[in-house]
Amino acid sequence: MLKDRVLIQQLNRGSQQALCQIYQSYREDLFTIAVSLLGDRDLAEDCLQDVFVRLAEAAGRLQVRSHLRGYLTKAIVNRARDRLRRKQRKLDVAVEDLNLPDPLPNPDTQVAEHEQQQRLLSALQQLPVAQREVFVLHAQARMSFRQIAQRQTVSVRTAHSRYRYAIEKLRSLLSKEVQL
Amino acid sequence: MNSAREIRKLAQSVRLTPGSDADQRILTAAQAALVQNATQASTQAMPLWKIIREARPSKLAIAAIIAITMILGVVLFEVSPDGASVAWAEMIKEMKQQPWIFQYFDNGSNISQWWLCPKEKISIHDYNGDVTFENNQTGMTQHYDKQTNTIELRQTVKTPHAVPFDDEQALNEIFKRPYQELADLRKRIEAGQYKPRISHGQYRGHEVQIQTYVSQDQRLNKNEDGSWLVIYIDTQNALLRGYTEWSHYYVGADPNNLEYIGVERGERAYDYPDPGPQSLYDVGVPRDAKVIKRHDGTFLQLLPRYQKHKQEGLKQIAAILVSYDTRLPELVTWVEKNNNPNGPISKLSEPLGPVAMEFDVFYFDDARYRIEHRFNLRENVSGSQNLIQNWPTCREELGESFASHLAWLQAHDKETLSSIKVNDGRSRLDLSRQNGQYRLRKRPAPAEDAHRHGDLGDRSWPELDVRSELFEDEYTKQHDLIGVKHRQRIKGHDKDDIFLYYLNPQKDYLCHKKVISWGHGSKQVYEVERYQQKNQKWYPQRIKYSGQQEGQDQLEDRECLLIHIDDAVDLPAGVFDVEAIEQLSKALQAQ
Repeated sequence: MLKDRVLIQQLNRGSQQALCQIYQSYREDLFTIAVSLLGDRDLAEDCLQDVFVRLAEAAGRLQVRSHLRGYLTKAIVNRARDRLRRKQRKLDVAVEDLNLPDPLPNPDTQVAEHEQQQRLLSALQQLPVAQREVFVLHAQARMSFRQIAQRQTVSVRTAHSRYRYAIEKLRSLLSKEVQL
Repeated sequence: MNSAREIRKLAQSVRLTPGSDADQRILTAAQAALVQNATQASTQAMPLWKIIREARPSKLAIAAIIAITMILGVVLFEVSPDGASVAWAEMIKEMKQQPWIFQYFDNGSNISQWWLCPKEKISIHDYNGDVTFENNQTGMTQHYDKQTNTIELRQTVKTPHAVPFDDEQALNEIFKRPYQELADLRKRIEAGQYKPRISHGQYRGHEVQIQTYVSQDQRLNKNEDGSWLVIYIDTQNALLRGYTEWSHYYVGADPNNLEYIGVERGERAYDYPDPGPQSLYDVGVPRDAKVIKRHDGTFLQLLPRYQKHKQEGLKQIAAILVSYDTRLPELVTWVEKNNNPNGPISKLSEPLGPVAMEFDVFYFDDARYRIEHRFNLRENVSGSQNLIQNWPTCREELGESFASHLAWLQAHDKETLSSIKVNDGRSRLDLSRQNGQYRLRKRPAPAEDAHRHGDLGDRSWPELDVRSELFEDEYTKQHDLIGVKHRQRIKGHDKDDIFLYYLNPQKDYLCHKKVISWGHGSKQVYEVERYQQKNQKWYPQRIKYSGQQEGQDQLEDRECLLIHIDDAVDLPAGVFDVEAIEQLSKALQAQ
């Protein structure tokens, strides 16, 4: 974490290298969160770009109060939220559109896991936005329910409930697809 | 795919990366933004303590500490302890000799910082960007709220019977915690029969001995050197400088049902500043933060201060409290309408503004007091027409001072007097008028006379119940007041009566506002609109009284109260003379 703060310091001084390092460190996590929330790679890439352009624009004034990871996660979730709100559309994304990277050659288990991931991402898009956000923030961004509750301005109990509903619905959707 | 855990694991296994084109595009856009912004970038390096200071923790840190402590206790270790335990004893001994201990805790996602001065009982805690500075010797607490950028100053007033044992215990726990944590770590190492690898190096700018521990549980050995615990001890003074550890990590509110998160890294760094920080500003709180004064604890703790102000404010004073009825013109209109349902509304019903209806004259001198209650209208309600006809002259004669009011009342003694209470310290005398007859009662002065200050006391410093509690609402925050709440339940009633008192600490703790919400639904509100100062003490000058009846949806103004205070230093001679009242009673009866 100290490394992050040093990177922020360097970025505040205008270091291109620090910016690249931050991007390389967090691009995968942030992009995964964005795709999970939006179900759309193009939109997710746009969000990622927004986040890093804003980060660069803020250089010199950056005071990351928490950890850089938390800061960037909040930023990407906010961006994704804005996109969702702006589009006002129900995302109904075909599995193949999500374009997961190809699995490594062989073993069968990796192929199976890859397929499961595809199904999960697709199923996520069928959840209400609030439930999807809780699930992604907890399961992928590793945020606590308390943090999520603060973000969504709901009680911790509500955040828990949303997570539970999300899990139940995902379980049902994933089982259904397997049966098919 | 059945369990929640499996679904979560699956979600965690999803790893997506932008396409290489996108990577290039994003980085180019971000770098261009950075170049554009380069002129604004800071060229100043931030000192290390500030780097640490800028990292804000979250409440999860506490759960993490508990979880790490709990789980490490059951980790199996491989070898027996060696001479390193001698260093442990020395470390704790050295640490206890330091006037200040700075502790920085980072569990990988949260950071918490403490500055502790056990001798002076000062503690500072930076938690999630909110910083609390507590000087437990002076009772002063400073709390910085990051979100609102405000500092609250809280003064805890302690009375001999108002120091809860639990607080004292908690206080000691805070200052013992660094040693306790170290002792716990040592126990865990000994219980696991660890054998450290010893080496030397640098840690946060200090020359240190490095003790490295490897666990049998390979999942924990996640440090770069394959260890799970590394301890850094200053070679110059045997002070602990820090340690890092990997441990199984659980979170959750219910200790019996914690959720397993995985393996997390925890780092504690120590420093020993001397002198330590003396205020919030010394630990980096911005100087532009707005400062607000608040009081903490129960009202019991504030009571001595409140009573002191009341005692001083009402010790020796002469004053007249005048109640102006703001609804009288409407009353006259109503009476006229009902008496003459078909007739036009007379001139008397024209808007007249508030009319002085009641006068309370107070003379206080320690235990001695005299309170006169007088009516402008007396008991003759139908005489309101006369009153209003005479009001313009009356208003002029009343004037704006204590002296002019007193002169008018003395000139209209017979028409206005309703009752007089006098306590000369030996006896209490009550003269009252009922149905045109005056009645005199005389008895020994009571030892405790709770209502001796009458309405002047009630409007200025009301009697407050010691069981009352402090509260905050928008009104207290907006006006910087202390809220005191009291509840009572009348036998047979379904709901509580709630009394809210808003005390003004800037004005001798005067009651700025009093709200009574009766259980049956009606409400009364007194609110000071103007203050005055006499002999360096504050008093209300104008108070608005409004009410709301059951079923009404808003308050309506009913009265305004004006308080006129005598400028004279000495009270009039003979004002507490009981015999003079007895003679007055006889004279009035004779009339």
